[in-house]
Amino acid sequence: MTTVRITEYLDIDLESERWCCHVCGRDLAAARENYKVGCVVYERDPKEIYPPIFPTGEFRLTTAEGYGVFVEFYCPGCGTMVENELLPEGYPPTFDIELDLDALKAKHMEDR
Amino acid sequence: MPRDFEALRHWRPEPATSRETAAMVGLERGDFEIYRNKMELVCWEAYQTFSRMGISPMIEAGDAAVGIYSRQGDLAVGIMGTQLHLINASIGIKWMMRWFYEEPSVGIHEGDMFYANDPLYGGIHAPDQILFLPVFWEGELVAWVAAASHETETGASEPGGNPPSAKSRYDEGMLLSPIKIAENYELKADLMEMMENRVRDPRMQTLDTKARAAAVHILERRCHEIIRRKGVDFLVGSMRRMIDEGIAAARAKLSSMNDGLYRTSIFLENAGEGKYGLIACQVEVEKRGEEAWIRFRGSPRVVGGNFNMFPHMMIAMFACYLFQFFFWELPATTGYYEPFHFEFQDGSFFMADTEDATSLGVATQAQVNTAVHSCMEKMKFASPYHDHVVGSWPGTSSSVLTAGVGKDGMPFAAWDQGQPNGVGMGARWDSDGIDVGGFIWCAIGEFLDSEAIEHSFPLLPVFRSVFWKDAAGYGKYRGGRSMNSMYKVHGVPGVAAVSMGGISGRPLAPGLFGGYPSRPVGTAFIRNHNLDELIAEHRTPSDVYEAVERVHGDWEVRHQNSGMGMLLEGDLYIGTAPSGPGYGDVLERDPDLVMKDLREQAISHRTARDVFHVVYREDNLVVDNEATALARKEERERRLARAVPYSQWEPAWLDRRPPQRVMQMYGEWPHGMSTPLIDWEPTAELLDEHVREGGAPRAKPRRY
Repeated sequence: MTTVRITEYLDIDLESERWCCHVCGRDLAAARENYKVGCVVYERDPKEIYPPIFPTGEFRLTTAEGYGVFVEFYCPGCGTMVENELLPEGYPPTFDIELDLDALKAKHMEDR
Repeated sequence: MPRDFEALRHWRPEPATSRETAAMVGLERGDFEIYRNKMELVCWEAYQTFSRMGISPMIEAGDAAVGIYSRQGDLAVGIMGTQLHLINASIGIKWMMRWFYEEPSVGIHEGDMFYANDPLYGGIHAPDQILFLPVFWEGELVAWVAAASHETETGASEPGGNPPSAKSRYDEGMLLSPIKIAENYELKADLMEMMENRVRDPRMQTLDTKARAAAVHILERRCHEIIRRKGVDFLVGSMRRMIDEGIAAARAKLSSMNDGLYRTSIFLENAGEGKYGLIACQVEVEKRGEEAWIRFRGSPRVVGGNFNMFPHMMIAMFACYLFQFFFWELPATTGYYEPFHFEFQDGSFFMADTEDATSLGVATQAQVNTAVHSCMEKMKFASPYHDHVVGSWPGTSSSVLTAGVGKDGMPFAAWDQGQPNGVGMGARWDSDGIDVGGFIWCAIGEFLDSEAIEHSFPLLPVFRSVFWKDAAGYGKYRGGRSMNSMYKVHGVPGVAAVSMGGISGRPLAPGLFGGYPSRPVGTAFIRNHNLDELIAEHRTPSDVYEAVERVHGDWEVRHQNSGMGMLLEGDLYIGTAPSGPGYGDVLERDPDLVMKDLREQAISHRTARDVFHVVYREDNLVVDNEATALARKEERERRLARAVPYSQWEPAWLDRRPPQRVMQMYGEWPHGMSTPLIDWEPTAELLDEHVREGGAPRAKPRRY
């Protein structure tokens, strides 16, 4: 067993050193890289999720104009939303989990 | 003026002294455990007394902290109240041990009580006021005890202590470096008079100071009882062992987690009244072996507002993650901090100038703590503690303070603590977040009764104890629900109303693993309205949606942190508290939980259909499981059809920029700044060996 679960929807295959989808097993990206590069991406207007409540004004109990859009990262195999970020337009997606793969491999070899 | 910036770096437990090490030798295992629990219970006893005696709505609601500290000022044990105060009180004690212990004009004696709230002396902001008492035994200072909580008035440029219009520290009202307010256990009339004279609500100031004094008296008495029963070395040794066991527990827990870097980017969206726009913040947690480095980067310091913070404020705020979510199972002690290191970007909003107002830095640090939380929980997921993964609080609370002369003719300045404490918690790995869980600074604060509000304030809640529909972060598990409210000014000609503290431009805390963040908050003042007609027609609104639909009048929709306005008798305002962020993909939410949400009015039919993609009958809320499975399969196919591969998406995305109107405070694109990090480690011993080891004060010249 060389697969280690890292998040709700992501595993790392220690032998191939690859991120893969926990739901469908789809290979995503090199485990030393950001898993997001192996995802497919969709930009969503936050108002689709949270329509405004106040009828007037700049701040209407939803994301105001210019303050960000949802960037949704899906597994290209099964369409599971692996992660999302509400980013200002153009902001680089966050490399949120950068594991020390050698330490991870050593730890799991030791466990075995 | 000994503003002592070295003291502000001494957040970590000091090394054990010879006295402490020797005192630990004789500790019997069973005795230690029994008395550790007893000392924690003692703290709870003091806390209960404190919260029953105080009248600030935050003390009444239980948003308070008490702790027992070593002679050197390290927290041995405290309670799960406003945990950040447990840490910043530690810095205040260390400052006093350095500057007052051997100062002939002040000194530290049995029966003295000290009081402080200035961030430059270890405090958080002017409203957070701490009373300290040194515990003596046979002439030796052997411990400290402290009681801290928030006053909703500090005599600042606007009522409320967090003035969103503040431009410098001189707009923030009463800022006290440590002063001796009691000798021989008696409060000094001159200093009590000074405090009463500096604030708009002198009655609250005095009663709450006495409540703090009562709390520390209980702590001192119980420490003396332990000493009488077990000896002074037992107390000294037990306190040190509590700290040392905290250190060992922190190192063991960290070592069980995967090494690596965990990062979260968040974007704040205001720096006070009129300062609306994006502010960048990146938090990085690097975990190696038994230790972790937490790095804070972001936009430049904002000039002329009360948004910035000092590093020790952020470090104290970390306690609200550490004690609530990382060491939920153990008593609070400063020992948990030992394996952590903190670094802050030079010139960023984490590094306030000494002239800056920082009274809403307490909100800034709460926002940033959500990013710390997100990093740490991502680390926790793939660890033996997976079963305790929980999403972040949504960020800072929001409130609308009212001030003026109350129905009883007495001056008042306070808010309904039900709104700040009416915040939903983040969703958990296996269940929804807790509804109205408290607020980020304190997980045990209560939601006060509406009757208490009507009694204490010239306000009539139109609706208040109701959850805010469609506001929680959606996901496989949704965030906890928050409250929404509407109040009518009642029984007085008018009040000043200060809306403060929240975020209205965008949500703050991210969801976990594909969960959505929750809604941003806001407020509205409504004048010349038709509420009386609605009441007569039995159509009184019961939530913000019905208020928008039914209440006609002059609506002033405001940013939550927009500062002071005036409301006259009969005028209305709306309050909203932030809900918790979600966890996991919305398409994995159990359709039965979606129906439960509908029955409990947590969500609308639109959300059930268009966000969760559940197929059901609206008349009886019976799910068509087969149709739901198909609808969700089709939605996944639509996702794949409209999404593009990352490599194809990224180049065009990186060419885009937010509109210039929201970039006034942002700094350099994309991360705000590129200056180096400053390591916030101590750089020198704070106390010399004589003072550390229990020596009596030596003859020294007076400072003035």
